[in-house]
Amino acid sequence: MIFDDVTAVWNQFNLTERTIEHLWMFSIALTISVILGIILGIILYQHKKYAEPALNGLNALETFPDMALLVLLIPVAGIGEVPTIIACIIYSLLPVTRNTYTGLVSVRPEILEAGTAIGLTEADIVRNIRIPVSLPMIAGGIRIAIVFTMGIVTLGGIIGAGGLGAPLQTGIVLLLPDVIIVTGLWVGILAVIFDGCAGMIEKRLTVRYGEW
Amino acid sequence: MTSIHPFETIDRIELSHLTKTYGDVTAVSDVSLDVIGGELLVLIGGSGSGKTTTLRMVNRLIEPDSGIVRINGTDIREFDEVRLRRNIGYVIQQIGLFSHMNVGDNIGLIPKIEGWGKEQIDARVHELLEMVDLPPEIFSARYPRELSGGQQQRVGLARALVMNPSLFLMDEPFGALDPILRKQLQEEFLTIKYDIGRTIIFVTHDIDEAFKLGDRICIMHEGELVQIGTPEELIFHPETDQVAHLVDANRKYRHIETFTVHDLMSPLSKREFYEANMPVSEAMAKILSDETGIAVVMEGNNLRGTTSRQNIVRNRKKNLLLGDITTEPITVTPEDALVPVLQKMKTKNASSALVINREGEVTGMLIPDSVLFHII
Ligand SMILES: Nc1ncnc2c1ncn2[C@@H]1O[C@H](COP(=O)(O)OP(=O)(O)OP(=O)(O)O)[C@@H](O)[C@H]1O
Ligand SMILES: [Mg+2]
Repeated sequence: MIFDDVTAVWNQFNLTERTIEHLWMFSIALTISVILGIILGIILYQHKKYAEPALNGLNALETFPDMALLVLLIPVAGIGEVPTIIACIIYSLLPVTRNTYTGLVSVRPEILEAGTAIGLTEADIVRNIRIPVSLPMIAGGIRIAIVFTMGIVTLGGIIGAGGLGAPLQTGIVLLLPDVIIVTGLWVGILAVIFDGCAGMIEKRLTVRYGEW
Repeated sequence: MTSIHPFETIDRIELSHLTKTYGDVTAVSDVSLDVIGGELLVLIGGSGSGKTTTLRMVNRLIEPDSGIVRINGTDIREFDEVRLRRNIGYVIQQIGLFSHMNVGDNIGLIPKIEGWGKEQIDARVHELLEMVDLPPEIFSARYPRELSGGQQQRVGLARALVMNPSLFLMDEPFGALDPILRKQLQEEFLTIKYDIGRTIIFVTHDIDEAFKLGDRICIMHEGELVQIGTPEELIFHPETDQVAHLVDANRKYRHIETFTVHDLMSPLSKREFYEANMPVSEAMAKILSDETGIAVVMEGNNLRGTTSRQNIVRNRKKNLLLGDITTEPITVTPEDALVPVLQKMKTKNASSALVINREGEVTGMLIPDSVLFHII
């Protein structure tokens, strides 16, 4: 019975605990990236001359292969959860920051002008027009960040971060196909579910706040 | 910041020697004019004649290169620009409603920022939607994309009214609408104009609209002011050929004595006919989805009278039938000579008449150009 095999692997490798660890790292990394990314996006919007160099810089970091980044972080941050979370943030910052920035700057000029004309201040416009209108775009950035973060948290198993990457690593080293298949599929399913949820939220925001 | 209202009422707005250039283009060239408190002044002229630029210098969306605008004697640069704009209603052709906010939030945004309480805002939104004949219970929660062009335009007007400004700037507010709807909105606007009794500067390039709405009309050409005066002054004493051409009363209406009603009437479609025993609430649903906003009310084959969208919306909560709120229209036949009909309409202050043929069938409406009323 397939079901029995799965349960056996699941119990033997403590996959419940591993999943909790995995999602814990995932949540922390994602929360920090989202908060930092949005703040950075707003700061770049306020200081547009830094926007291009900053986004280019983040883009360069992003082109680093993820394995290389994890390994390079070892001398700085050691091994385990911390460097894994740092790597997640480095990767996810770009999509969130870029989408926040792009969303804020690309509001239709007529709308902005109407805002000015009825007597909104710059700050009122950011709060009541630019941010709400950018929400679908920001959600799109977060969605990309979710996929990145899922991937890197899994990879973190290699540098001892725990989570679902750990049993995968064990499976690879000890050549245990059952473990590889069960854990691999499980990670995949998690990623698809999260991405799907984020996609739904993005869609609703687009309907709610999007341009017509 | 200065006081909430930099000016309570408008006595006079002086535009004095305003000039604005963009590179080689002189958008506005040494324009001086006075707007008198309480009047509706129309700025009219061809495309690129500087109307919008002139208008936007009044609420400081554009700063002139030289010249001064004074409101009640005070240079407007002495006002805080945000305060100034909150006290000037601004309505434009592209409307500029915020698509991510519903109608109520669009109208209530500035009050919210000003720190009004929720109930106070709701009450104000309600009041304004009633004023522009959009039942709040239906429209307050709708999004701009769920409204027709005419409805959006009325929400734009309600939003401009929210802080109770004493001055309005309107830039071709009806420009994007089809002709019948535009006439209807002009009518509605005229009644609102009397309700609000404010000073209005109104840009258009439609001379008929100018004559219908304007107390005085200011003609612009290539950034310069050509002539300013009442409709009669412009028609009978045009200072330049250009003005004569624009007003065009001579050529267009030289043969007016030979016209009959038939030459000028517009046909009515089936949708404009209603039964007298229809409840007003039901009629409202129908007329809200119909852009012309005119209802010809029949009792079987007999005409009961006419009524308007405005009238229907305003009576929707009283338990009435459509037949109870009709008024008796001026009726004419297609063969009637035009001039006497117009004179009759003018004395009765009616902007439209119902056309009925020999067989007693309602065949159309006569909604003459306002220019005609001024020349007969
Ligand atoms: N921001 C700008 N930059 C460059 N040129 C401008 C700008 N705004 C207006 N102009 C020019 O100034 C002139 C007057 O423009 P304005 O918008 O005031 O005309 P208008 O009378 O409102 O025309 P329309 O009836 O087409 O709206 C035009 O030639 C226009 O091209
Ligand atoms: Mg214009």
